[in-house]
Amino acid sequence: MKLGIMAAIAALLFSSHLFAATNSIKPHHIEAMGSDMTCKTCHTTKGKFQRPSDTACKDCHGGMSDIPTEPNRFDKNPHASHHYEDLLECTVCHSEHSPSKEVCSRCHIVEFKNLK
Amino acid sequence: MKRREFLTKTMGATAAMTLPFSVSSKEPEHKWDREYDLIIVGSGFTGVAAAYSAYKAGLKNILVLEKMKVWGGNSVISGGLAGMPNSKLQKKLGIKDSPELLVKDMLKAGRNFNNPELAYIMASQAYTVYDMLIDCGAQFKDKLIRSGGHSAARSHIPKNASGGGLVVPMHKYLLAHGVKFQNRTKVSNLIQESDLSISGVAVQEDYDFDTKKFKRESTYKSRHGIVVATGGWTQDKKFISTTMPMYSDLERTAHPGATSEMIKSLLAVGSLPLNFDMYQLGPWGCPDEIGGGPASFFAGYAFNESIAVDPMTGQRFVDEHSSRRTRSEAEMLVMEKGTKEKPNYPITFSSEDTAFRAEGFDAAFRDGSVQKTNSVAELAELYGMDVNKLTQSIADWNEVLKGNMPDPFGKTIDKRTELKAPYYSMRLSPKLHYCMGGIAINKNAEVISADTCEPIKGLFAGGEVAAGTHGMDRLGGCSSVDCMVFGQIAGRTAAKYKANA
Ligand SMILES: Cc1cc2nc3c(=O)[nH]c(=O)nc-3n(C[C@H](O)[C@H](O)[C@H](O)COP(=O)(O)OP(=O)(O)OC[C@H]3O[C@@H](n4cnc5c(N)ncnc54)[C@H](O)[C@@H]3O)c2cc1C
Repeated sequence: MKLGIMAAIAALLFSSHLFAATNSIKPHHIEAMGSDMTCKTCHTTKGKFQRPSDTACKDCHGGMSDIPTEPNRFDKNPHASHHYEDLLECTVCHSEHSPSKEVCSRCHIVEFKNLK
Repeated sequence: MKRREFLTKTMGATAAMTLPFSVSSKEPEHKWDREYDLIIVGSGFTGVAAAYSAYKAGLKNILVLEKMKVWGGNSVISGGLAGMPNSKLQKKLGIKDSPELLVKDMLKAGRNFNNPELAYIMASQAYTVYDMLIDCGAQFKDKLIRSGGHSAARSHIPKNASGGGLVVPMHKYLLAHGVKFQNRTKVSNLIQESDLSISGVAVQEDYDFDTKKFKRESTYKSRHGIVVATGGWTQDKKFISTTMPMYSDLERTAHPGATSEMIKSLLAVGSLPLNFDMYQLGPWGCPDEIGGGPASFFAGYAFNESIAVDPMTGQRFVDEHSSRRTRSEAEMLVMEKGTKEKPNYPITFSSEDTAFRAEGFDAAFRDGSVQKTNSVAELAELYGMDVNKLTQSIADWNEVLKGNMPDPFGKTIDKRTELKAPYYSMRLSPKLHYCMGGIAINKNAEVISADTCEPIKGLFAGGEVAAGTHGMDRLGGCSSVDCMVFGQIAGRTAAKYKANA
């Protein structure tokens, strides 16, 4: 019994698929990629896990201006901000393993229902 | 001061122990993780201007460090107003102005606490900032406004009414010319040599401002010294309540990263502090929005073309176009007539004609910080004012506009827009806005040592972290220009500076 748990923990640590069970992947990525979606899809560097670079996102999604954001009643387009334009990394607002948070909401009233 | 003392003072005990310092200055003093020609700390107006001029002066391997995830600090969230006498645009619009006139305005607002030499350098080189910005692709509106305390229309407005409209084009220009930008990297200390010169920085890489966690500590060498362009610290509650207890509880306009660690590092290496108890309040602050947002922009227009009143008396209480300090002090007195929980917030309002021309109006009205009322009665009702007194104040102001009566506060009027319904109004409460204090610099943007009153070798600074240009209080649209004039100077001085020369 004890051994079983140890083995499960070991499996959890060594398998990138199972690792995802603790660090969950968002449903839209699973929907789009199925079992092709692994840790390595975004964490492309060798060795220790690092915050993914923009390239990982852009390879599939394109740049900020290629990704339309839905119009909302505050007519703010986060991908065309007056303050930052397209200089920010995707991970400034978008997270995979925790809820995403728009950086503009620190000062502005915003409402991005579709923020992923 | 002894070398050992300096190490512990500047590096902090742990960092000092992990760094292999040698005893003799002939041997290389440190083991560096990386080396650059020039490191600039901070990616706002000052930092990008320094990178621009250092690049133009021929430096190749330039690194701009930023501790936040986002670039540009206060500069990109600012309104980007820039007071630049003799710019090509001001000449084109045929507006009479001069650097001398701007200096006069600045000394008046600064109550002569200014360093007049720095003020004159800023005013006389302001036009070069305009040229630099245009060179980098920034765009301005084809009009100029006269901001409070200025005696000429010289405030340039970025086309998108944000400081981002100036900093982002420069950032992109610099990237295209090989300047490196590295965010999420906090400079924790300046590294000082035994001859007291500054040779590099100790950094925390992959730094997360929200959790204060980081992945690695490293040291970077900078062959041409360090440019400190880290801005103000108005978000640092402890530092504010220690230096100016009166302002501890005020709301603040700055970005969250406006904290005090770099000013402390500058003090630790022996920089001369100036005016640390002086902070600027923004009289256009609105208690119904976060920071200095769109309502503040609208207030500028209402102040210029209309009036502000004390809701308890229904009467005006200040020249709404005087310097920020004068206005803020007057507003605080009005607020103090209420209670701490329920301050008696002053009100400013304008006619529709004025409101519709104001940048920020649409957003402020949409977000509810600016409200519409269709009559004097409605306006009085909204803020619990005596309708007769308010009616009288509006009538008096319209008489002033017609020239039938002198303005009781001596306000200079640029645009005579009749004040009539519908009225657009907002509440006012001054917000902590700008650090007047900072470390002393000279005309070459070299940081001055408290010990010798001479420059500290290899240490350059400009912008909000430095003090002197503005004295006790700063005019609107003068920080951006101060930052970019002294940023440029810092970049040029650093390019000429060679360690151990
Ligand atoms: C809401 C608002 C509106 C304003 N409007 C105007 C205006 O219209 N016109 C005008 O002239 N002025 C305006 N100001 C003032 C002006 O914007 C600032 O004074 C100016 O931007 C300061 O520029 P800076 O380059 O000195 O610093 P910042 O632009 O603040 O940049 C400093 C950067 O350094 C970074 N940094 C700090 N410490 C470290 C560290 N230890 N390691 C690494 N990085 C660090 C910060 O994160 C920041 O990004 C406004 C200010 C605010 C807040």
